[in-house]
Amino acid sequence: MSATPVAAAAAPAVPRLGRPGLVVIGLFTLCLLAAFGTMGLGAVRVPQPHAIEALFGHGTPDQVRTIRDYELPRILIAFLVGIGLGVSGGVIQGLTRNALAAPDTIGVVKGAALGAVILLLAYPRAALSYLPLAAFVGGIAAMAVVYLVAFRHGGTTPVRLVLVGVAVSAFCESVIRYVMLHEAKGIGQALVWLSGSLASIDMQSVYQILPWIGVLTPLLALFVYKLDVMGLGDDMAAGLGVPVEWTRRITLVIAVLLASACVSVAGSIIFVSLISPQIARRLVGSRHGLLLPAAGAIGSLILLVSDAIGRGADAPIELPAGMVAAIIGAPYFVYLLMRKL
Amino acid sequence: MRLSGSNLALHYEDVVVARDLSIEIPDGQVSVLIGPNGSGKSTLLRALSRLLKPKEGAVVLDGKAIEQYSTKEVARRLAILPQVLVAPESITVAELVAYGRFPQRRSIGGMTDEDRAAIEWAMRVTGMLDLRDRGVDHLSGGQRQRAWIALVLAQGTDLILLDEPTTFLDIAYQLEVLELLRHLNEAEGKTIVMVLHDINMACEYSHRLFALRDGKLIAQGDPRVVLTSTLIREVFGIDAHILEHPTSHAPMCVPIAVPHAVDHSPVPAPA
Amino acid sequence: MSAVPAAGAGAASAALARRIRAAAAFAAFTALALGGFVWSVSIGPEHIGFWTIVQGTFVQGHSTGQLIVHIIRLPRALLAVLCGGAFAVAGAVMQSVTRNPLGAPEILGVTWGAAVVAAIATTIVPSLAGVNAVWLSFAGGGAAALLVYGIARYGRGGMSPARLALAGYTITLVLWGLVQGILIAFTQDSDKFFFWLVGGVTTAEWRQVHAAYPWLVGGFLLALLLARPLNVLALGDDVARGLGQNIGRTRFLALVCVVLLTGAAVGVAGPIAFVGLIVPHIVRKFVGNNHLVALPLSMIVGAALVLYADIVARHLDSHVEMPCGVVVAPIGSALFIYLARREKVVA
Repeated sequence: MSATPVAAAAAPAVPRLGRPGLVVIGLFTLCLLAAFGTMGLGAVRVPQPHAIEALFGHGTPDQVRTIRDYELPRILIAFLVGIGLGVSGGVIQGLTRNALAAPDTIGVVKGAALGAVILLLAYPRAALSYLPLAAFVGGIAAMAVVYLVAFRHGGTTPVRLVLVGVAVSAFCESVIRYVMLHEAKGIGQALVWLSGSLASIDMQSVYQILPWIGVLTPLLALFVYKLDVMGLGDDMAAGLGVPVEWTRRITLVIAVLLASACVSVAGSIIFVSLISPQIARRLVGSRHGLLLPAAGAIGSLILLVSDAIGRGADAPIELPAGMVAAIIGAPYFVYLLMRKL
Repeated sequence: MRLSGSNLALHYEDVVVARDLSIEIPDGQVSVLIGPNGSGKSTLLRALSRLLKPKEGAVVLDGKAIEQYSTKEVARRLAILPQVLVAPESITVAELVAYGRFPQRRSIGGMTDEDRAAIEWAMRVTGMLDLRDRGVDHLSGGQRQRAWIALVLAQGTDLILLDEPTTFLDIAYQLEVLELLRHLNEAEGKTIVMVLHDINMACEYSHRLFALRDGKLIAQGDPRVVLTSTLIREVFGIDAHILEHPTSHAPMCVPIAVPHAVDHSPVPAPA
Repeated sequence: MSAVPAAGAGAASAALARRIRAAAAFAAFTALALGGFVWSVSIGPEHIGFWTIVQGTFVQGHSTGQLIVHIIRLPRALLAVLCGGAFAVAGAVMQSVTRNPLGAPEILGVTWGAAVVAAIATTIVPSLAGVNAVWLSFAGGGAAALLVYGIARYGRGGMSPARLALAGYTITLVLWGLVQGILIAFTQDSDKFFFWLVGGVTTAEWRQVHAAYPWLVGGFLLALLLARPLNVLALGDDVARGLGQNIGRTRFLALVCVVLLTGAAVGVAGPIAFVGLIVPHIVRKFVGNNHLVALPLSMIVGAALVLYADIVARHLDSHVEMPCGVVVAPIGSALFIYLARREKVVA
């Protein structure tokens, strides 16, 4: 075979960030640091070494209570929801091969929010423990609609999936607004939850979401290689023996379940699941076995920091974590847009 | 004969592409499908590789209807290189070729020696060993196509189907790729089936030519026998001389130009 | 439809048929809009007869009916017409410039830029609310549009329709988060503000009409001036350049037009989403892509749409009067879903 002139020059090997596995471990370590480091920032300030001690029960009853009952759940939720959103976003971006894809863009987040809002406002006396269920139903229903509409001739294309997702999100949003206006009294409360504030989290929420994250994320590990092959294009993947549509469906459902669980507990936090996989990709490459854990870790980091800022920046005013995350994430996203399109 | 299709009715997005189409692919030879746009040649190839399900009729692979195999089993017997190829970002040649082992590998677990041997061999045969650590985005057109062919080779099948493998390449790269395919057929005994746009390339490199138009098989056989000006007129709608290639003696088709017709009818006054 | 004359008798009669259809569409929609206008003014808690409406409009009478017409109903209907037309034309221009049937001022971030600024104004610095809202909306909408434009233009690869749409969508996401956050963190009055956010003409007053209409008229005129250049631009960047058009300038002016129209409309009526998406599609079905005809018709159809949406919204819910945005949004997003399904939609 002829050697072309291009081959003769010094061949740039593919740039990699050293050993990607180490990067993932490093990211999780950062999460731990953030978790402990941000304890004590809040309406009630607890200065640092005391904050960690309070976690283990040493300190004034007030401090212990603040840390254990108030901040610990929030930090745990930020950590878990961050993982859920990051991984979910990573899967969906891989499936749709679209940098702008995320649970919010395929209608899941808005659908889940709609489910929850209907419960919150139309049946205010229903137990709050039904909230996650309502969100699930909403999220999965929305995704089902998206999938059904985008599905043509036995398959979907990446672009169509995202486009329909955005449209269904818009529809859910419009119904949310109607419901909120209809029940004018509860708007304030609903808005708070909707914007991703972790203000009213307690350990109950942690127990609620833990099984979902704990079961679904490892489940995805089984699909990691298939997802990689699907990155070669639908035809090529089918040619190599991947059951493309089936794999897409199952991983999509798992991703949606993950995202719905997160929304049901923490409201509609956008952006985190959009940019975490993007950042992860630049750090560890696009092999899902590394990408998904990295995306999860980055999601956690973002939420941990956002919540801390939201708690502590302008106390006693609480800025919702979702809003802070959006502000943090936006410049990076703009940068992405300018480089990548 | 391992691969054949009988009485196929093929639809593509509500458009009927072919009705009652039958084809038999000869083993150990290079077969080429030609025809104008919309003739159904790509659709037929996709049906043969089970990427497309025929509305009627059956595709038979190794004696069984192709739907009865699992996707992975088909991938162990038949490899397809589709037209649309998406390389993940910043992937090396070796990593790309490694994907070819997917049908042979278990879901969990590393690469076996057999896998590694297949990958090495595929890269050697396609001349990509020196480029194994190069990013696929940094390859020339011909090199990139060869890398994809290496992927398909790593699958280890004897049946290889390719959908327009040369369409966007410079002519030097076209020859490079086609010569590789010829080598794979002659030295390694692979059965090659491909769709080509270029009639002359098709004649040069095929043992058996299949000419399609409007979903019908107009002619099939040895190009030296089958390629006539009548066939060209019937399939492509143009007049052509048929000449013989000075070196290889393969038939060549040289179109006859028709002068542009000027419309002398009066121009109506503007409305 | 192309501006190139086609030879042959068949084409001539086709052109005639097109003209007739356009004229019919104009007539029909104008009648619809006028009817809607009158209807909007006449219905309500106090039903008002036709004559009273006429008197109230042209003669400053003192009967209750005439007063209601003059102070409440008329400005409301007028605002609906102006803002509906504004959003519609802005949408038509946007879809043309981005060559994307999903284009709308919301995509450009203009609506939300305006909304954010207005949100800040009402909640953090309440003295700025009111008539000044229009100026603030421009600032917000303009800033957002410039940001989006900048991202699309100066990123790698230069300006392209897909890029503009995506950049706009991102900025929209961020701004929306911001609005919600501000609402929650800084206000007790989230109900009222939320009402405004949905977009509607419920609380229309004359001073709003006065504040907005110079900008809106200016925007409409600019749009009409851009009609021919937009026709040429629709043929493709390269072809347009080849025909001698300065496409950078055309695009920029189009953006200015969109900001003018949307900023002013949002300033007084809030962000009524999806008008800019729906109307151009309806108009295109009737008169095709010739902007000289499509833009004026968009104005009329947009006005009609908002008028009727407002009427429906007023009666939708028994104990709360809803803003018309609540009606437009589900319809618009349903259309969005339908459009997204079609093959040709991708920019």
